[in-house]
Amino acid sequence: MSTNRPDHLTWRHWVLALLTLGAIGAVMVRLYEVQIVNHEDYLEQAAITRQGASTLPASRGAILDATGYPLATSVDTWDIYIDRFLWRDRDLARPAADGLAEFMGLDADALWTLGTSGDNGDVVVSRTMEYGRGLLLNEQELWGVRLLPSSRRVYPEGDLAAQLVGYVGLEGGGLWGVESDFDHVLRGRDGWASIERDAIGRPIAFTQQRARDPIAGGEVRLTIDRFIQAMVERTLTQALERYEATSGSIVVMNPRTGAVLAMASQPSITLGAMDLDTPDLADLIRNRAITDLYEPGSVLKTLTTAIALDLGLISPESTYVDEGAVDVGGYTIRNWDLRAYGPVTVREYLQASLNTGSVWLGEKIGAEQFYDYLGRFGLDEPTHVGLAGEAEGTFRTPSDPNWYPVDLATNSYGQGLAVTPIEMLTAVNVFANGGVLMRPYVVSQIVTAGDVRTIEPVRVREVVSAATADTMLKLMRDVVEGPDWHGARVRGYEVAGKTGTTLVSIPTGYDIDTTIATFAGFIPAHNPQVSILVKIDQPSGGLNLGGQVAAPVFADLAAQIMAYLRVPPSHPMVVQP
Amino acid sequence: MAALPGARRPASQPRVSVGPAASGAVRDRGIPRALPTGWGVIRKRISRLMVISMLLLSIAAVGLVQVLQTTRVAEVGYQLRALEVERQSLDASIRILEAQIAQVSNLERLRLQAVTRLGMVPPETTMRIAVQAQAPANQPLPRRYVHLPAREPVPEPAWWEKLIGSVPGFQ
Repeated sequence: MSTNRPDHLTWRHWVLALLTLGAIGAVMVRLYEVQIVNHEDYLEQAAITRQGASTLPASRGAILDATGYPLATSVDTWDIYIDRFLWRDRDLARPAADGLAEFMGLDADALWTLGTSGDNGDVVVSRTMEYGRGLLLNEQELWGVRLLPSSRRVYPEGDLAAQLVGYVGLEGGGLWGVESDFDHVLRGRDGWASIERDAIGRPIAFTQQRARDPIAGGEVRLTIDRFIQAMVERTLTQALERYEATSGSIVVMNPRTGAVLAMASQPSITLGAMDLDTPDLADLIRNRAITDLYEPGSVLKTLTTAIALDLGLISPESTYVDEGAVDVGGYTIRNWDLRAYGPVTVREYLQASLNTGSVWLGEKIGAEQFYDYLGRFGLDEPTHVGLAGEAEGTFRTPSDPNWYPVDLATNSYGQGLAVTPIEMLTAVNVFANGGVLMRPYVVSQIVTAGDVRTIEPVRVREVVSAATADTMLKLMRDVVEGPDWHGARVRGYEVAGKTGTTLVSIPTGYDIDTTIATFAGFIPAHNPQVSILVKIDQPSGGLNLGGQVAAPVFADLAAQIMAYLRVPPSHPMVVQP
Repeated sequence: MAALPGARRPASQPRVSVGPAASGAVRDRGIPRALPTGWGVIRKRISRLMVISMLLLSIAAVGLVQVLQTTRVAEVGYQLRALEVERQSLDASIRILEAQIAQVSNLERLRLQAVTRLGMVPPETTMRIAVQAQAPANQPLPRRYVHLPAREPVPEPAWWEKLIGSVPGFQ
């Protein structure tokens, strides 16, 4: 074979081969250096490198009032840690301690001691540092100073509805109230990421294998209106001072839907300055409107009257003769004012709130039907308002071994049985809602990622006929508007309601010196927009009856709410306080 | 097919020129002989060493491209990381501003502002006049402290992007 090309290696081949071999050799030398010569050094650096699952915290959802205003929301903050493993390098740790101390206004030696007291683990320096300040600290890139995202719960309205809203703990979980009851909605779902970090803890770009994004917590919208809630809390605080009472509760509802517009109890807590070691914390955080049982007293006479009306046993003009006292099973039951009124109609009995009238009605109704109706009014079960800790009413029935005939008599005017304030108001609301019992609720909407759940009013059952409910509404209006004077009257509006006064029960019976003053009512009477229950415990300022204490509180509050809701008065008028 | 010495060329056989460059044939002692054509010629002309060298060069080129791509990808990765941090920071700022908006709408603060700054006092007389008109909707502030626009969905990657993404080192 003959060709022009040489069949031996030329200088070009040698150059190419040498270059290739040189490159391969360089790589081999570098590999030898990394893998053999400096093996230990690189091993240590690899140990410094952090690789693992890092939690990506989900922001906690807000609790909104009915107008969309946040009663509780979260803002981003930082928790500051010292990485004691990295601070083993004392030469780098010292300036880091000085820099951190200068930034935070702390003692550098104390930080140095804190960060060098061990060889491993992170030690916290500060929690919930303001977000912007944390970013400035991060820019300083202090050796071994780590910032981890956290959050802080803020309450823009301060302590408004504190017992209802609740509180979150250090780890961000709800401890009570809506924060606890709806924690599963509010907390969202933390994400996590596999993050490779460099020697000073910074995430290495493009090495992150994010496995799950965080899902922000949902929002819980309450039926509570912060304007009404503020009126209620202010009015309740003033009432406790004025009447020198130990505690109290006020519940405001929409009687047609069962939506709770405001719910307040005193004494209460300061959310912004919570101390979980407070000895009487349980008393302060308790939402008394749903947890505390009390004897409703004469407010229950409205139910007794309604039962008798619904059974067709009486009419508003039916009469009985009041002799001032009645004997039942060996016990003498007297009117609250120890007076005898003679022949009185049902209307007059309610206006004067005569115990003897209730006993008369109770006997006509009979025990079986009376207690059956009380159950239908929902007094033997929780209202299922949707909050934890709700108590349920309690009373004895003829099937109980310790029930006596006198129990029917005392129960008929609200003694010897116990209910919660929200239970009582829910039952009374039946009269403003055509005889239908509605379930109370405080949460109107739950908004989570991609899902909006609206809570609709729940009709529980028809308790009495619409005609009975209408008659009761008129009778209750006559209770307030009928006499020459009544403390619950609101100028320009007709009010329907009933007072209640009970003695405080103690283990040995009743404390005759202390009372619970209550008033439950609707406004305006002809077309109720709101129902309000006022309960003032143990007033000691000289006045202690429901009509003296609770009724004026109702009037004060109802006037404010009517103005806020822009409910037109019954007649054009000028009000001069 | 090689022609035998002295044989006549068949009429159907095309005439071939004897120029070595043009015909690919050479004369060996005056006798024309057919030489390899096509791939055979190329194989003869490229030595084995040359093939190896080209192979190595190709590998080096691919490696170089890989290095360049990895560098670029790392660069984009850092940019992404920075943007992600910026986004998180902006989200946090939004939440902080929302809370601040809510705090300045605090009822007690509004009352203080009304009393101290504007000199407002509770009304001494309230006059209510019935009019034949619908009352305006009650609009307490704020309705919702910040309305967040819906995020645009991230477009689905094309098939070729998924294919490239499935190659190790190109994720």
